[in-house]
Amino acid sequence: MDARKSLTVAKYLFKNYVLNPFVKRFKTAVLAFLIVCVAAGILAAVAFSLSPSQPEAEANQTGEEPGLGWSIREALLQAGIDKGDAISALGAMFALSLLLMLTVGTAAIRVMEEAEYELLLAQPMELSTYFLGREIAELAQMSLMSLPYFGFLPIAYELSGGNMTKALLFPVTMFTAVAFLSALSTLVNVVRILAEERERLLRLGAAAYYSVGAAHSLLTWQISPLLSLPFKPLAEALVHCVTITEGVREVLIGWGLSVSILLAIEAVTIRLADLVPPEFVRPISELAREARSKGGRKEISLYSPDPGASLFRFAFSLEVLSPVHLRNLAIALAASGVAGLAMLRVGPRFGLELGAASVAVSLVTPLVVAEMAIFLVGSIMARDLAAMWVLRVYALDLVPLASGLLLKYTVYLSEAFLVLGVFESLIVREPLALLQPLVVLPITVFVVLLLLVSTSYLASKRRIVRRMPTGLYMFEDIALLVVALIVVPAYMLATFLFKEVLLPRLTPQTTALVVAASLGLSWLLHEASKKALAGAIRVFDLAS
Amino acid sequence: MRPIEVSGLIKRYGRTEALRGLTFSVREGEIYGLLGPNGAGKTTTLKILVGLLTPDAGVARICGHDVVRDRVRALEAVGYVPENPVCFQNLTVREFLEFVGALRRLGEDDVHEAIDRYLSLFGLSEKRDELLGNLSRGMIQKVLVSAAFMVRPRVLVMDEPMAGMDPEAQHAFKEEVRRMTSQGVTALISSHLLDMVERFCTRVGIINEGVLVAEGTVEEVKSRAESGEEATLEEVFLRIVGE
Repeated sequence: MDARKSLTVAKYLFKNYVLNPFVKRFKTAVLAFLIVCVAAGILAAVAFSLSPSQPEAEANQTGEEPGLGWSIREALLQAGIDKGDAISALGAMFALSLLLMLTVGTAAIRVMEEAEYELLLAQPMELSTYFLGREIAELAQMSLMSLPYFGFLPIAYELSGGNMTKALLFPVTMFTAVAFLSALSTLVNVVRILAEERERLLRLGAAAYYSVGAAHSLLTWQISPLLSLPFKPLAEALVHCVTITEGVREVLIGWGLSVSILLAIEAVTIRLADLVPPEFVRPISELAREARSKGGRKEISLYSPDPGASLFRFAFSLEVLSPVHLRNLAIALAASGVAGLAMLRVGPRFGLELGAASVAVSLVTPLVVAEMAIFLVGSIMARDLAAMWVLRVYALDLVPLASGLLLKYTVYLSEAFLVLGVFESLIVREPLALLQPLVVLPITVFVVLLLLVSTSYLASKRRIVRRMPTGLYMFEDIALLVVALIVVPAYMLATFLFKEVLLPRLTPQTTALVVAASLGLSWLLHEASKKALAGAIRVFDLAS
Repeated sequence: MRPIEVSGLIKRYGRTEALRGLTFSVREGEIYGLLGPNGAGKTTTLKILVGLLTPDAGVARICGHDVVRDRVRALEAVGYVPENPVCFQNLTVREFLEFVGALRRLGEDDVHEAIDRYLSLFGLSEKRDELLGNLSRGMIQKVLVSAAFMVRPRVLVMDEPMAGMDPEAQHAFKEEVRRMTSQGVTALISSHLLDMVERFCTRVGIINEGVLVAEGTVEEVKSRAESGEEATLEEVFLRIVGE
C-alpha cells in the first residue's frame, strides 16, 4: 500500500465530488452559510448559558414553563420509552441495517463516476491504496455533510439538562454513526465479494442469526441482546448525549469505543482490499442499468397509430404496469399489513402505546414520502430524461409525455401513502385511514409537478445527464432539500388536516363528497400541470 | 520478452465466454491494431491488460510483469485510453492531468511541461481550466489521450482512441504515436476504423468470438485470406469474420 498515493486519490476525489461542484461553484453562498452557522451556534451557546435548562419540578417552583427537552422526555416516557429502550431500539436498528447490507443488492464497491473505475483503477496502484484514498475522501465528505447536525445542538442541550459539552458531542457522535455505517457497508461488500459462491451461505447465516434474535425477542418480550449488543457502544454514545444522569465520561467511553471499532473496520477493509478483483468496483449507473434489465417487463407494445398514446405508454404503462412493480407493491402492502398486525398484538406487550405509534406514523409518513420524492429525482433523471433528445427530435407534442410522467410519480407517491396507511389503519383500527392517499391527491399532484419541473431544470443544466438512482452531486442534493422543505410541511399539514379535522367527522356521505372533490381537483391540477411541464421542458431546452 | 504478451486468456461473464484462450503478443515499437466485430472480446482483452478485469484463466503480461500478480509494476509501464470518454466530471482539464501525473510520481515541472505540450498539440490550451464535464466528447477524448501520452509509457493500450476526434487532432494523434513508437514505445490499438488501421498499424490481429483468427502485417493477412493485393482491409476483415 502506498499512503502517499492514497492521499493523492483522496485529494482529487474530494475535489471532484465536493470542492469543485459545490464549494467552488457556490463560494459566496457556502461562505455565507458557514458564517450563519457559526453565528447561530455562538448565539445559541450564549443564550443557553444564560438560561440553563431546568427540571419540571424546579420550573414549577419558580413558576416557569418547563423546557422543550422536558416536554419531549415526558412524551417519550408516556409512550413507555426510557433510555434503555432507546439504546436497545437504536442498536437493533443498526443491526437491521447490517442485515440489509448483508442480504440486499449486488455485492459491489459502488462508485459515483465511471472514471473512478475506468481511469483510476488503470493507474499503477494496489487496490488497498485506492481503498484508503477513497475512505479518506468519504470521511472528509461526510464530515462536511455532518455540519447540519450542529442544528440539533439546542435540542441536545435541552435534553441533556443543559450540558453544553454533551450537546457538542452529539453532532460528533452522529457523524461517527454515519461514518461507522458507511465503513461497515464497504466492509460487508468486500466480504460478500470475497465470499464468491459462498455468498449465499453468508446470507443464509445472517438470516438465521437475525431470525434467532427475532425469536428470542418474541420469547422474552424485549429486544434481544443478540440484536442490540453488537452496536451497543454506538447506540449508547448517541443516547447518552441526550440523557441527564450520564456524564461526559460515559459519552466519551461509548464514542471512543465506536471510533476504535470504526478504525478497526477500516483497517480490516483495507487489509482485504488487495484481494478484491477490480471489476467489483462498479459505477452506480452500471448497477442501475443491470437492476433495470433484471426487472422483467410486461410485454407492452409501444406502438400506436396515435403518437400521444405511444408516448404515454412509454412514460407510464411501461413501468407502472410492469410485473416487477406490481409484485413489489403487493409485497410492500403485505409487509405493511403483517407489521401492523404484529404491532397490534405484540406492541403492548413491549410496553408500546399504539396511540403513540400512530402519532409516530403520522409524523414519519410525510418525511418518508418526501425522502422518497427526493430519491425519485434520481429515477426521473435515470429513466425518463436520460434519452430526452430522442423525444425532442421525434415527438411533436410533449404533453402526453408530461401527462404520463405526472401520473406515474403521482401513483408512486400515493402508493407510499397507501403502504403506510395500511399499517396505521390496522393499529388504530380505522379503515378510513386508507383514504389518505386519495384525500391528499391534489397535494401529491402539485408535489410531483414541482419535482419534475425542478429536476428538468437541473438536468438541463448538465451536458451529460446523470444516469444513476442517487447520482446527484451535493449542490443538486441541496437544491432538492429546498424542494423537500416545501414538500414536508405540505404533507404534514395535509396529514394533520386529514386526521385531526376530517377523519373524526367522516360519514359515508361526507367521505364520498371529499373523495369526489379531491379526485376532481386532482384531475384539474393534472390537466393544467401536464401543459406546464411540457412547456417547461421546452423552455429549459432539455435535450439529453 | 515482448512488451505485450497474452497467453491462453479465458474470460467468462456468467455463461457467456468472452475470451476463449486468446493468445498473441506485440513486439517493441509496433503499432498493433486489434480488430474484430462487436462482442468479439477486444475491449475485454484491453481491460485485462490494464488490470481492470481479472481473467478466469491465462496470463497477460506487460513488459514481463503479470498484470494480476504484479499489478503495480505492470501498470507503471502503461498509458491507457478507455473505450468510452469517461472522465471526472468536476475536475478541470489541468487538475485531471495533474492527478494522473501525481499518481505516476512525475515531477511537478515535468507534469506542467507535459500538460502544456499535449494541450497545445490537441488545441486545448484554452480549455485547461474548464471542467471536464463541460467538454464535448471529442475534447474529452483528446484529454484522455493526453493523459495516456504524458505518463511516459512503454506501452500504450488504446480502445477506439480517435473516436470523436476532429481530423486535425487525428493527424496529431497519429504523428505522436509514430514518434513514440519510433523511440521504442509499443502501441496496441483497438478500432473499427479499418481504413485508418490499414494505413497506420504495422501489424494487425483479428479476433472473433474470443479467439485470434488472423494475425500479421496487413499484406500478410490479405494473402492468408486469399483476397488478393487489391482487396482492402475491410474486404479481408469481412471475409475472415464471415467464415
